[in-house]
Amino acid sequence: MNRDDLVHILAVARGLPKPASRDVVDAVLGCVEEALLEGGRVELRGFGSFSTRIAGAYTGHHPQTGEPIPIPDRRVVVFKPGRALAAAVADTVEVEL
Amino acid sequence: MSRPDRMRMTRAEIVARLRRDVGLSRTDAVDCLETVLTTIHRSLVAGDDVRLTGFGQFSVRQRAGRMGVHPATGKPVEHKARRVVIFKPARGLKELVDQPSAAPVEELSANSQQDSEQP
Repeated sequence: MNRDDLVHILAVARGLPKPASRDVVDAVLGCVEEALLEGGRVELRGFGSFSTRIAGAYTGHHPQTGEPIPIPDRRVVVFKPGRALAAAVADTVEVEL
Repeated sequence: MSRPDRMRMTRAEIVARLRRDVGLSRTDAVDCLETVLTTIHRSLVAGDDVRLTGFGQFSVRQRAGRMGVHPATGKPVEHKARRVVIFKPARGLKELVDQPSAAPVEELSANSQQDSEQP
């Protein structure tokens, strides 16, 4: 499923025109981005929470030359699935293979 | 709520935004947000990844079962194989969060230890 699929499903489910549905999806994701940018966290009970943490600096290596590359501290996004989502997914069976 | 930490966004703030920016009624805003989350949830339960351009990708991965040890009793414990949700932020979101104008690193590291567990 991609963004367009989500927009379409939302439009049909809520009886919204496509552009309004797209605005809703953009606004929801925009809210999350904004909160993370400001160093905050987003808690959506049942679904999960988004937050950021510092990933520590380390020395990496260029895959071809082996030359060391310093990787500085950086801020990364963390998503922790909520209890309901984690539980619903945990027991599903693998379809492909 | 329990401690005065950095901004903590919940459904309420997103609903307020949908009312203000998209012009939805409170009920419609609540329903729309629920529909978005439920749609992603269902897709993942069905084993279908959710790719949101510029934001990130939710996918489901298989975790193998393993034997663990109960820390207190030392008895072996079985961890069953299960599937877990993985979120991989898109490049745009990664860069947004890691840019210099984002919240400073020092303040966050000070918070990060207590922030690791949910309140």
